Amino acid sequence: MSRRVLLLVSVLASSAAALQPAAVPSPMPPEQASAVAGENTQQGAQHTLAGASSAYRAGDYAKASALWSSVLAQGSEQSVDPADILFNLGNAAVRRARPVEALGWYRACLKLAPRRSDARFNATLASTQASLDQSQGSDVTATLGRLISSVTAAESGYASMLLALFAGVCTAVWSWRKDAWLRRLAVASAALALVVLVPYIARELKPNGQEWFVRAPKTATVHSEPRKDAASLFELRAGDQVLGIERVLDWIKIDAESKGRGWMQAGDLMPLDPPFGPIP
Amino acid sequence: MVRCLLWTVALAACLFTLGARLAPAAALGPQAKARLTAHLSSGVVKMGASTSLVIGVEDAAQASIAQLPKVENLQFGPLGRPQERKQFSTINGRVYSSSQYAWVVSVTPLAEGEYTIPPFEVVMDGQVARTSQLKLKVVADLRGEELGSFELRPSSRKLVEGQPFSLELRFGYDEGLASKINIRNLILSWWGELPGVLELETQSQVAQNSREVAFLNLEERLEVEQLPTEDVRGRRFLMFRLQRNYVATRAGKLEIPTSFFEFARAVRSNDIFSSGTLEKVESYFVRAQPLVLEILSLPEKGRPIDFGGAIGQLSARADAQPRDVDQGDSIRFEVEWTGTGNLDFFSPPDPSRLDAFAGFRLYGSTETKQPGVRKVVYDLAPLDSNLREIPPLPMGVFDPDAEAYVTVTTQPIPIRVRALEGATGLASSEAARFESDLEDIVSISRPHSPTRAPGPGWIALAFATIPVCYLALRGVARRRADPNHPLERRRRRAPKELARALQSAADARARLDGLHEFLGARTREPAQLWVGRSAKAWAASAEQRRGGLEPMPRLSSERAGQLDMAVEALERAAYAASHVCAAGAVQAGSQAELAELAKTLVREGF
Repeated sequence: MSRRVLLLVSVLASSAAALQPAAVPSPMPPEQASAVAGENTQQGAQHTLAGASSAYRAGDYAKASALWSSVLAQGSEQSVDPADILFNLGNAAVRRARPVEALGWYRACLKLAPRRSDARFNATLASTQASLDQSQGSDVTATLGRLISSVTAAESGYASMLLALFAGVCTAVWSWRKDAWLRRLAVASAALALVVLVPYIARELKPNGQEWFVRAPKTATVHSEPRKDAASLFELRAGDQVLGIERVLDWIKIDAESKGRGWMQAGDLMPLDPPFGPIP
Repeated sequence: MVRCLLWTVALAACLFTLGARLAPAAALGPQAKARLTAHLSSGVVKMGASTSLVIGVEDAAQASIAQLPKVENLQFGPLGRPQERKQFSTINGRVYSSSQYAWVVSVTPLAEGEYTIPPFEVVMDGQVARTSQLKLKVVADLRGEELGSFELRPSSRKLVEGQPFSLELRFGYDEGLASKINIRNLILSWWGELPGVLELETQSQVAQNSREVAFLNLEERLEVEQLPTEDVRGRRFLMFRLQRNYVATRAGKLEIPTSFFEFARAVRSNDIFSSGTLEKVESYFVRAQPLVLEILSLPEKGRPIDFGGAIGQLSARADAQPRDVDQGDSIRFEVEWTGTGNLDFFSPPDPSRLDAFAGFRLYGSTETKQPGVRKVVYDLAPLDSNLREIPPLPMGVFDPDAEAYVTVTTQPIPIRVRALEGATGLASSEAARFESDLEDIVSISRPHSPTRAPGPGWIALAFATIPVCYLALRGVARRRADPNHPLERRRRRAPKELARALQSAADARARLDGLHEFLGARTREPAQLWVGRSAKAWAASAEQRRGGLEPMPRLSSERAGQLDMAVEALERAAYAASHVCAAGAVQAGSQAELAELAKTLVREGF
């Protein structure tokens, strides 16, 4: 009996070990230097944030945007939450009467933190101000889309792994004990693991590349070549999302799924994935 | 297990597919029901002439006819491609689309007689529908034109879609034939089959003493009104009238084909096989010329934005009760539209969408439709004590006579609204102060440790644990012997079985058998193998075999020696008859010893 318990414990322990998120490789050299440098970066970022907040409160939204953008550009992900910065940039854009750009920032924020209610609320306000149609097809499609986008790939992946491991443990115990309820529990866990895995698969199936948001006030033209006098292929509406393929100076080659591929001026686009460059 | 997982995946796939299928289906609204009509251009033809079979399909995306019916002595022309027509119209902001298919097939009779064209199948949007049965009369000569009169009189020859109209059929015959004629038959091949119109319910207003009966296509009895005699072509005619009301549902030409009125003298047959049935001995026919009504689309010019489809000459009257109310109290605002028009079909105006009614809240409305009257009762509540009247309620109406849109309004109704004492609330100017604004910025951002999504390999590994754990633990379970196996159950039961055998044993032989059974069960072997076997020798060989796939009970050499001694003593007692007394002495001691020895062996892992 005691051996069985030991075996179960060892299986559970190995499951728990496998659940630990993959360690992010640290670019820092030795431990002490890393700690000091990290502290400095954190203090610097928080100082810049405080300055940006003060500028925002004082009504200097352009300065606040510039400071927040600089924090984002530093890439100090460990010291501040980039979702907070993106959210603040969205607010500054709304205050500067740039609702389309604001919607882009909120979308970028929601990609990192999909269940942020404040970002979702502000995005709705911004889209209303920009008179953009936010409908996503029929009710069923929209609901499924919202469900899938409400969890990140990491959450979906780890939750699915946890459930799969639990299903494995249940299966193992069932192979020993042969109790019917254990078999049902194993099947239910495995099924739930598959369902929970859907958002992860949905993101994995997306083609690789940086996603861009059309921030032009109404429409933006897609050209056949990275020249202004090149043939116009089609137009994209403000708020559309496209995939970036390559960049040549101020031109970005995009893939607009059903419409096709072409070149757009970088000024008409803003990134939804890092790195987040400064927006003019 | 694998099957269960497959079922789960299949179920999930089905749910996704169902969702994807439902999404576009939910986006589509309800569609108009397809309608099939079929009629002959003339219900009566002379020999040598031909008529046309007109088949119409409305509001179907696709329609086809596989085969025309076959009737002896009737020759049907070729079935060509149908005429197609699609139409779009906007009523009250909604776009309505309709489509029509029409086939015209010539029908040539080869002999006189009365023919029945049986129903035939038409496929409309994949659904099979059947036409109604049609009657055709073929005569050698159509005599009687000068003796009869038949005329179709529409209320108007020029209509707009949605406009109601009436069709009066006036028919009669020479008064001199009144004593001879006993059958009046209207041969109306288009009856009930007119495309693009909707028949309205007709209230009979015919006086009891002027009601007469006529046949419709010699099948159906119709109640017609007898009119006073009239002068027709210089002769007195006995005249009758039949009226029906319709509403035109689409623009275009409405063609009513040639109609016939048959007046005949019939006698009862004396034939033994058909006694009692009427047999026409004299028939006269008079035709009504075909009629074409032009139905126009509603003009766009001058059409009110909130036009609800009202057409005709209408007037409006309103009443309100109570008129002296407290602020927020409900007022029953009753509006009646009367006159000549499509009273049953228009959408009444919505006060909640009118600026004039901004000071009222509309809680709902109820509608009643009566002949010539459309009544709507609105439940209104005044929100402001400064309101002094219920403003006029306007409704856009298209007047076909004036060929223009007019506005029919109710008269304003004075009311008194008393303010509620001590009532507080948000005035509209106050409410504006609390409009929604952005959620505020995040001033202090907490340190953040980004979590990367696990790689597909890790997830595959996690899912792989399910079969791996199953197979691994199943293997271990098999190595350690399945606890549910009969041999394992027998092994666990062995100490109890031995105690029972020792208690019930009458002699040493029975106890020896019980001991052999115990040893066999504990070593997962047949009991017979322990007959004459040395426990010491078995323990030595078991020690050598330990560590293999087969689980091996533990037996120390000391216990093996004790076991050998016990077995020997029992064998002596069982098989040495001359030492009965000695065996009897051994009996009591060996029973307790054996039980104790068995317990010790089990405790030590044997």
